[in-house]
Amino acid sequence: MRERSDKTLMKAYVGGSMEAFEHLYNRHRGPLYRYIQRQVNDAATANDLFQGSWEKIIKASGNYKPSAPFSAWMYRIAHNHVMDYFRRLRPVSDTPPDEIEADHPGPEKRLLYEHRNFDLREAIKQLPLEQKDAILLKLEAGLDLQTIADVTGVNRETAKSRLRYAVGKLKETLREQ
Amino acid sequence: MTNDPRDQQSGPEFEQDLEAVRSAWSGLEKTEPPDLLNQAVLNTARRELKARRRSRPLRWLGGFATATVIVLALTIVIQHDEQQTPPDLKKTNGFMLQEDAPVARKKEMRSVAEEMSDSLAQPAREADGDREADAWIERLLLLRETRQDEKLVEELAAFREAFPDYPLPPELRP
Repeated sequence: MRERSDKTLMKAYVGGSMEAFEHLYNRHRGPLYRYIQRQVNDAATANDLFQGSWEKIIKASGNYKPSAPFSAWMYRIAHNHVMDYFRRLRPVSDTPPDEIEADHPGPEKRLLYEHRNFDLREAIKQLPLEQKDAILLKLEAGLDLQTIADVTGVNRETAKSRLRYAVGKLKETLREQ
Repeated sequence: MTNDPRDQQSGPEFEQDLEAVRSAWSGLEKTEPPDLLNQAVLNTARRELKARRRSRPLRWLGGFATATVIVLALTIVIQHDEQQTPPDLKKTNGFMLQEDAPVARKKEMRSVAEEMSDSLAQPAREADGDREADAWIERLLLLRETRQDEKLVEELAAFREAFPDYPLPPELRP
């Protein structure tokens, strides 16, 4: 049997089919959960953010336009929700986010980077927020560069640069192992 | 979603590195949301469907009520127009009235039609949410400039409630 597309399932849910939503949810719950969980590194917070994201997705489902890919729309909502969480933790600053700790980790972080047993998961934790977001959208959600740019609300070049830095740092960690 | 040829623009070295990271990544455990969480999300989706079903008849009723009001208004306008014409005048100046009455009626009907089209244009106005979001963002930027951080965080949360998928400008990102 041919798999129904996300758009078809979403349309069916908006039309009243709970079964369609269950399919859609089962298809995306794992990657979306990991996208959130690997950003916050705390199960309780990840659960809250995951549930909150889905609540927003469900609430906004009536406004979903099938002209846009469902996963891009869904990850944009989740991304915004997660960023709101970080914003509550850290007030809006004047320094552009990309410049914060992007290339100049402090002594503590450098020590961590030098640690031989420092695994991939730990390396992800140490990435600056924007780079972490970009690499998770790439590896967990499987989004392409343009969609990552759309989801995170930046241009293609910025998204590419974030991805490059993130991949570079993770590769370095792998080399050390 | 990963086959965009423009993604290859980053160079072969980047692609190799990405592949190495991807391969190591696939070795990480695939955490899934707990069952209770799945149930909570599915219940939310179910509740939303029920709420939408409940609100559907009301929406239909609203449309019906609007249509009834329009028909009533048109009937009153036509009757009123006919009653206002004295029978004597009809006799003495019949030619003029035959010319003028339809014009007046047309005017009245046009204004009713305009009102009607206004009410029908409501969804289109709702689609102007983008403009509303932009205006809201302007206010948020003003709060940021004036360093009203607490108010800004509150307003941002309210903004997200109203526009969950609307992109924020870089200045408002964490």
